[in-house]
Amino acid sequence: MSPPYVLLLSGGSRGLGQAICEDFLARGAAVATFSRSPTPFTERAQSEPETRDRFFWQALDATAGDAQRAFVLAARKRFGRIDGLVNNVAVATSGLLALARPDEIHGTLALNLEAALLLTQRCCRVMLHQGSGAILNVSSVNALRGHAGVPVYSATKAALDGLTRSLAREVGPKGIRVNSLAPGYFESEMVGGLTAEQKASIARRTPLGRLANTADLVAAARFLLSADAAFITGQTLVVDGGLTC
Amino acid sequence: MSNAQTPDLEETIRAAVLAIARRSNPTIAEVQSAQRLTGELGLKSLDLAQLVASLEMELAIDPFAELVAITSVRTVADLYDAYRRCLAGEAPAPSAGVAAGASRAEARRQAALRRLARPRPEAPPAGASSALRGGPRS
Repeated sequence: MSPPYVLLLSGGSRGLGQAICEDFLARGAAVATFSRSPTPFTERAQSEPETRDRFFWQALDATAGDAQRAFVLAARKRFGRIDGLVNNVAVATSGLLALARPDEIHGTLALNLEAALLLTQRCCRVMLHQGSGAILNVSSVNALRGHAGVPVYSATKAALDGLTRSLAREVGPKGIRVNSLAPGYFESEMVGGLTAEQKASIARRTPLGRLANTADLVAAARFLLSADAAFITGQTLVVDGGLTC
Repeated sequence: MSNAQTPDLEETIRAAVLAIARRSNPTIAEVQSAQRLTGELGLKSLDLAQLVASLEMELAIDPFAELVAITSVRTVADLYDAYRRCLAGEAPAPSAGVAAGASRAEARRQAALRRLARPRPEAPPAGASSALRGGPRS
């Protein structure tokens, strides 16, 4: 990866988002990210001499469209361009649809889908101006296979995959690629609620015999954002150890 | 906006249009005010999006974020006028294309009103099922 690569990622303060940010920073990229509040990672990256000039973080509510627009413009002003966008921020709403509160449904749609659409729109403009760019939507195996208890979350992730395919056709002629990364179960806060038995059951049903780890997903994200994937667009890369194959 | 800024704005817009038009047709040497963006200059809708994006990066404004769509702007002069008005804080003026579209919309509205004003078939007797009503259905 060449040093001037500029990555913009939503929700980069922890979890998978943090891991992708750390990976790109370690490879010399500049990283712009936002989250609702700072974490030890964002504070460290902002203060350490090795990363502070290449790391731009702001406290931001992803559902505030105007604030996202300002963030994108500020990131471009600071780093000069945006080469990669990762729509990572999401809330893993769970529960039976019949019992879901309307505000839960609205909130999940606003964060998982609308915020991603608006951030993509803003970054697309920068990429159209540049005539290049790569967009990665963090989807889920829940967008591909049905699972009881996550219908709202699944709907938002399937919508992101629809965005991936249509936008890939729309902006491909201008040198912009759009792909989805669909993680299966991986060691994160999102599976924190599962018991050891449930995790073991998932591992047994997975051909590769384990849950994914963050490094598995970071490697796939890095590939899809890189020039190695220069002829890949409109695709969903499933990283689930074969669970859904 | 001062007069001194106007020629710069016009030149900025012409340069942006030329840069994008030349990507699909390198033989284009210059851009004239009266030229149609999607006609003589051959810009597609995605080119127009790229044009608006490029001008937003340069001028930090987007006159088409609200009210008027870029696809309704016909000529280079219309485009310049939209940015000039936006910078001056004026309401966007509809281009000829927008005006024509507005006229068609108004004509459709008037036609709909005329249809609504026509005398309706006699109302069925009370209690008749709506499925048994004769005459055209709206």
